[in-house]
Amino acid sequence: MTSFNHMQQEAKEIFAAHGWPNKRNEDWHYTDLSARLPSSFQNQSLELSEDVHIDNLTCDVEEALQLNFINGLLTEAGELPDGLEISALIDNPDLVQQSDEDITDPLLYANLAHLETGIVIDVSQVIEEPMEIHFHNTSAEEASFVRIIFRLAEGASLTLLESHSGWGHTQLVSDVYQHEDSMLRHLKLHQAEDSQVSLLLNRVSLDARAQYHNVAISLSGGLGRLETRVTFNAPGGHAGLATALLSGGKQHIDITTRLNHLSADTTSDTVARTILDDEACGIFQGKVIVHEDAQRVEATQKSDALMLSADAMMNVKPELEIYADDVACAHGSAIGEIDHEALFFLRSRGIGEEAARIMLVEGFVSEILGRLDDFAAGAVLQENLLKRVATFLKKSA
Amino acid sequence: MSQAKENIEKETVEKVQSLAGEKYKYGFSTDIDSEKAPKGLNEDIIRFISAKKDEPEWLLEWRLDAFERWLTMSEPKWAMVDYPQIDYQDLYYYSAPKSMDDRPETLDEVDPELLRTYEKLGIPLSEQEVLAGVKNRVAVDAVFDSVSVATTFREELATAGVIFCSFSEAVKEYPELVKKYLGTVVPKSDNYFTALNSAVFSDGSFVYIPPNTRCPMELSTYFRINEPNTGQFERTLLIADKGSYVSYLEGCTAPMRDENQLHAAVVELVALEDAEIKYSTVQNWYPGDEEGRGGIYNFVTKRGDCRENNAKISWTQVETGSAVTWKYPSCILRGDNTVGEFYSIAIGNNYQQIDSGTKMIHLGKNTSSRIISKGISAGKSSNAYRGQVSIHRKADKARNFTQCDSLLIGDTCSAHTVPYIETKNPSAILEHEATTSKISDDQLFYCQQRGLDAEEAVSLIVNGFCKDVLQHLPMEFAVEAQKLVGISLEGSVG
Repeated sequence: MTSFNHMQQEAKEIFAAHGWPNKRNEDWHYTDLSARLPSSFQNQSLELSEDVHIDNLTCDVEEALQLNFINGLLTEAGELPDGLEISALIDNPDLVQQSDEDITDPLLYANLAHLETGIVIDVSQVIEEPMEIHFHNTSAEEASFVRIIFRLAEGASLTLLESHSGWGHTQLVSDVYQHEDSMLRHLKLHQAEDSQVSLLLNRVSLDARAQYHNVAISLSGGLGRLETRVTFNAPGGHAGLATALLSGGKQHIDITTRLNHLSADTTSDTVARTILDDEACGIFQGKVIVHEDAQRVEATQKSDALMLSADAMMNVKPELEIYADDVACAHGSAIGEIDHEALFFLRSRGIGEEAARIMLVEGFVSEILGRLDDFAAGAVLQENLLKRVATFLKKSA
Repeated sequence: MSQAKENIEKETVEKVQSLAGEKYKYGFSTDIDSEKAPKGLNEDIIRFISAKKDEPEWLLEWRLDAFERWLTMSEPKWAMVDYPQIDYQDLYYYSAPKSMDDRPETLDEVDPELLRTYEKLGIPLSEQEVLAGVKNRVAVDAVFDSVSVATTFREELATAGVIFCSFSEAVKEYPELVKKYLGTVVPKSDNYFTALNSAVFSDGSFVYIPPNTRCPMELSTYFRINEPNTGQFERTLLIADKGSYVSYLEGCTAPMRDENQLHAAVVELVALEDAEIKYSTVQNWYPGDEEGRGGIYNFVTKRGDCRENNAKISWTQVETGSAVTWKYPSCILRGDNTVGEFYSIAIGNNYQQIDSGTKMIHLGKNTSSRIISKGISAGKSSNAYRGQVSIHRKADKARNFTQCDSLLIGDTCSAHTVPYIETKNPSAILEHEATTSKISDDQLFYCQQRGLDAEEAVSLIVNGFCKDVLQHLPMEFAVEAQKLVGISLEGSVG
């Protein structure tokens, strides 16, 4: 078996040779990292920072188990309930490189080359309380590189709250392996400072009847790429990906999804709602691949975007790649501004213009928040998030 | 029943019978003496082509500049097609029927062998026959290998002020027009194949419609590749001046050969104020045999420029042939209130590979575009729709509607959709819909229990699936296209 250090060395060499992807790489057509990111990172903290306050930056769910990564290092975790176990990735090197993708994909080799913390979280049964993993960088010079592997045993289930805040550069790769009948509900909350670069790659592998529900909310940040790749290995697997992207200032946020239906009788649905203000640039790249023999796959993709400002920019690329014939795949995309008639309707009912606008926009993202209904602490989460959405909208109004 | 109607019915029955059992009816080759430039591509070949055509110095310079740029470029690899590396030095870049050296004044002087070829293609070159009212009135420019061999109806068109001639003649007779518009829509270094075409293009059609003129008849060009190992590089330039209208049809066929042949054409359309261009293509190059041997590589750049206000350009294409298709007819909506349309049917069978779609570039205010694309894959073919809709900052109130549907017949083919939707203007409204599915068993069963066999049923359903596009074809083409849809899918079921 190749040692961890050997693999990291190899990744360093690949990163040195190829660096960040540019827009000639089709997957990075709209987000040119080579033009925006430095080719090396000098300021990686090796010591834990003291006195970091992240109280109002997390998902704010009291009963959640809290795991905090400050500047890429795991601060002390609380006591874990039965059925949850954490171990070091360095002890499981076979989980690091499993396919060619791991050495050819820029997000993966860049992550491994600079990796500070790698952990493996094993979930062996149904865990009632939600688990929050919070990532925070304390300064603009900080760069943190983390990899987390989740393994859900047969029938296990977990609600995972992942949140990001702070400055600097954050790069997270989270790999999820879900065995038969397991269920992962995953909220990703991205609420960072204007200067933060967040490259968040989430790879999910689903066995028979495994279900993965993802809700991603991006409220702020500088340059962000929220990428989710799901592989369906056996019949009955289902993935639901819902994203709300609210973006203002000079933000550049890229939502990329890739659903790889290797097996027959699997389903997926992807919904993205984007709201763009100021000079923000929003991107939705969705790809559904249905492989040969993956019959009876149902996959839908929907991307809607609302443009609030004349300087905002939206790029959409919803792709279908189909190699099986008995499938029902569809994608839809719509881009426009606030419906003037709906606005007039509300105003004619005596609602002020600003309030009416906020109402309409809230309505636009409410479908995404509605997906949190089944999450542990779903009601609290919805309430918290709605408040933050309202803050965003007030600021943009 | 009236006599006329009876005749039409009889004709239809005969036509259908003549089509039955045929797979690719244009697969013959004609033995005609031809004159070729030596194989390979270098400056001398370009000078040779230019000299053969007796071209002015500026055009030779233009070609050489394109060649220089081509040398620095590399073949695009992003399309979802896979073919062996083309050896560009192993091709003939110029081939002309020898008897064309002294271009015939009238059709009587045309090599009878050539006339028979066109007869086989069903193209009415003889004006008498057309004038007698036997067939529909369509003015035809026929391009054989690299050279335009005959253009009909020129005089009648000339009275309306319409110029319709081969590209080489246009260079000689209307140099100002050619100079003014050539390369203004598709720059010579736009991509690898346009640079190649600009360097070695041999002929093509030239059309100019004067202001406030409605072209009195459909204009049509038939392209035919005959010689083996020849690349065909034609160039079409069509200008519709203010307030004019033209409908232009294009058809293409090639003989069945075991090796692949390259076709890299460029089409440029310019629509000035209030002008409208309707451009229809039935592309039926030889698609290769059932084992995927032979067939045409069709790498074409087509682009229309709605240069002034209220102009409209509409592309309709039926793509049934070619082993590999790489083609994206596009519209640049530069003027205010301009309209771009793209209606496409792309059918792939056996080992055909298609990567086709469109680009709608909205630059002006109140511009609108509409894309309807229907892709059908059967056999082991692959069919990709690749389209871009781009709304620029000043394109207030731009509007786009895109619908791309794919139909899969059998489990060994594939269908892909790759749309790029980009907007920098909040007042734009963009809608995109795409679906991929197979022919439903219920529909098939319904047709079959009404007495149709499986193949007829598929053909009927597919024609229904394509109806949105077929109805935008001029009538002469619509009938042909409908039959082509059936023939292309032969052998794909059962």
